[in-house]
Amino acid sequence: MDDMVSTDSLILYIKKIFHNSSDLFVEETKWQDRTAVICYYTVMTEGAQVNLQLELIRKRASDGLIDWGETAISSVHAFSVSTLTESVSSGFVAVIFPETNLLLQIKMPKFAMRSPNEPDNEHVIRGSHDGFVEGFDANMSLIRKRLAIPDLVVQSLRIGNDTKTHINYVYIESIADEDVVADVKKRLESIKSNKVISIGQVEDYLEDSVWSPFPQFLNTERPDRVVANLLEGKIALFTDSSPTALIAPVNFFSFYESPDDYNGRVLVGSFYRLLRMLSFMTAIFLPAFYIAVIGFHSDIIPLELGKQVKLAVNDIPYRPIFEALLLELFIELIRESAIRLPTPIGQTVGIVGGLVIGNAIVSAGLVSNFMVIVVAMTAISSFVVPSWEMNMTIRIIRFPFMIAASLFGFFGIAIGTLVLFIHLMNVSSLKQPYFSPIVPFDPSRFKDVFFRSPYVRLKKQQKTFTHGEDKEGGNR
Amino acid sequence: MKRNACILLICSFLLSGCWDERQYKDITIVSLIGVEGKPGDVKAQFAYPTFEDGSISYSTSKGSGKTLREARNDANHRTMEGLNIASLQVLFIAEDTAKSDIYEYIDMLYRDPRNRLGAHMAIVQGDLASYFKPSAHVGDDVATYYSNLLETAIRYTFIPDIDIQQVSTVLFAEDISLSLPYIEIEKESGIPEIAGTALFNKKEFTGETLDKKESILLNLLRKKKGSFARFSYIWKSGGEESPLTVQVVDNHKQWKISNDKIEAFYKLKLSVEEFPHVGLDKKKVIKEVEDFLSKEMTKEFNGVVKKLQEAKSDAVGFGRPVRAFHPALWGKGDWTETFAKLPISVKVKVEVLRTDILN
Repeated sequence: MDDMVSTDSLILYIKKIFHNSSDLFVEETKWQDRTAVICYYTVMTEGAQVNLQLELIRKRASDGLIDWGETAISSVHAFSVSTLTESVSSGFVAVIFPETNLLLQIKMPKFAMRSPNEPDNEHVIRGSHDGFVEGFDANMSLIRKRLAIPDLVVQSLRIGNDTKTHINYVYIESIADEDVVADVKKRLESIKSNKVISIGQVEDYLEDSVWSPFPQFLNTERPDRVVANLLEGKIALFTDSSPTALIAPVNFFSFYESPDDYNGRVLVGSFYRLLRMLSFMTAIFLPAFYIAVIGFHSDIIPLELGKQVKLAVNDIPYRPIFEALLLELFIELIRESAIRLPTPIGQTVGIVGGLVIGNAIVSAGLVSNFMVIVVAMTAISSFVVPSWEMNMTIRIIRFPFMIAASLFGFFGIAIGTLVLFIHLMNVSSLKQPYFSPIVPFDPSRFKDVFFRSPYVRLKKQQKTFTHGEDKEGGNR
Repeated sequence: MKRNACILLICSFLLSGCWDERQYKDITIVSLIGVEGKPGDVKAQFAYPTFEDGSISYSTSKGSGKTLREARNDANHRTMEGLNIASLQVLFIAEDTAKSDIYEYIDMLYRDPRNRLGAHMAIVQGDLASYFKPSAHVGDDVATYYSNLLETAIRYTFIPDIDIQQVSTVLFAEDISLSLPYIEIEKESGIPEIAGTALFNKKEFTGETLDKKESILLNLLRKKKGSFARFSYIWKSGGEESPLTVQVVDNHKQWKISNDKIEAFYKLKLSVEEFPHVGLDKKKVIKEVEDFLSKEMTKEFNGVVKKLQEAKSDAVGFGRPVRAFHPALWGKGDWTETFAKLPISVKVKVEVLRTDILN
């Protein structure tokens, strides 16, 4: 009778800890000749499975096994309130034995999981079409499937006092630079925040310079991309609840590589990689160049073209910078609205924005048709970049260039370019140079950065960053 | 150090800025300039496109002043926007104006870094206004017409390929004389056409011109062939007659200069473009054609040189090697005077390289 009272009070006590949450399952059950309390969240654990597992463990206990509670998914701990709350919050089943003061933990959480579909923002034509999902185990299995080696290491830690978010970092022990790995660990441990919700938040904490417009981590949802980068000695970070992996240390040119390059053929891959590099130039400089030409350096327009340009700009009441900003505003609005809307409506917005407004804005005399060409070309160029972050970066940094061009002409663009490149050379990703291999200069790696060199000729282990005299780095 | 660098960078922005801005819609693109008058009383005409309601029309504007720049400023009073000559295509100088030092008129063009020195320059016969509004229809945009006219003529070796930048180089050289395209209005049709080459002595137009065929020969003498250089003759041999057109494929020159004479040898490699007379596959006939052409061309080349000497204009540039390697001859005095009196003989040897498409 005394037992019963204590069990009842235990149940009440547990309910109190979890604030009477209605999805909490707390029931007393018979365990051989004693009583036990089963406790779990019904939304995170399948009840039928619990019964099966309990049956199994009961049988082990009645068989008199000493380690009756130790199976592949269960373990026995000494009872404490913190163990209890942690287990139950993680979606485990806790079975409490008040008499022996033990806690049996059964790990069988059930979460809703997407199938590993190809990520919408990183489509490829050839190559694998799977992508990460919102669960680290599934993601890691996708990586392990591709890298069947014992050197692939996962380290995990929990950050955020309120959210207890799992952060996992993955690397290949024999290739990754141990200093960089230690640095990542140190930085992760130093995150002092109560709430860590998204991977983007983690990125903020890890970045060398938060205010740089250039992303210092490569975000991807593609396992093949992660694997390729791991093999180059980089580190991938995952949270448990996000399909996005952060890859570092990266350099500027990593953002211009697509799995398509390596899935396709050599010449094709090289051509399109060069085209993407060129798109960096057009996406940043084209509107600035046009504004500078119209405002300052009209002498360089060939006469035949000049007549058409003048015909177009002659009746525009505004300065070219306002024309450009107006159109850019339009494009950004269309782009932003198309993202938020469901796909069929999004396409409609694209057509309405692109064709109808584009045409109407010219005939209304607000913007010259050359400016429409320039801005459209710029927008398309910025979409060529295979990485979303770099895409956004490029969209943003062309505005200072446009303003510089409208104030100082080509001279402004030249100074802007100077500042841009000085910045690019100073930025680092996990303390590794961002603009490598140009600074520090290493022409031997150009062929793999600007072109896609054939696999048959890649003899040396490829690494993004090299240290030491042998330029091999790490401790191979 | 860092502070100084910053100050330097910020100060450098003062070099250029919004105050230098010249919006493209606020300028008028002048593509053709004509200069006439005499020093101290320059009259200039400017042709430019005007833009209205989405269509292009062309107009001209006149100005006068002591200098070309003043004339331009004067013309500004009669145009909507400022005249900008940064996209200049063609510069015309009237025949009578060119007879005095032409550099006095064009000096302004070299003093603004924005000006286009790649424009063509030509001497026009007679009244300038008739070239800006020709009686015959040559298209609304006369500047494009003249620019294309001159470029085609350069391709066909009719006129020397020379732009405003090269004009100043040659103008100040003592050992070579300027020669410019010469344009006149054809009497019957009223269409402006390339008439040949205007010859200069020092900085002044001599009044002497070469016709079209002589112009081609002059350019061959200078070894400055365009894409095409064609000649036609009537070939006569043993009572037979046949028209003959040849094209110059290759051109070798060799000058033998001594203190009292210059002997020039030219070896022209030709391809036969027209020769209805059958038998060019025979070596004998080819030899006959070669001999005939050598004789004819020697005569014509000498004629051109004679004309140059009469005009005291060393447009070929015989003075260049003379100045470099023959100081005794060069030291005789003013080169154009020496050139005019120097016996110069030209010998042409013709080799028929190609006789038809297959050979």
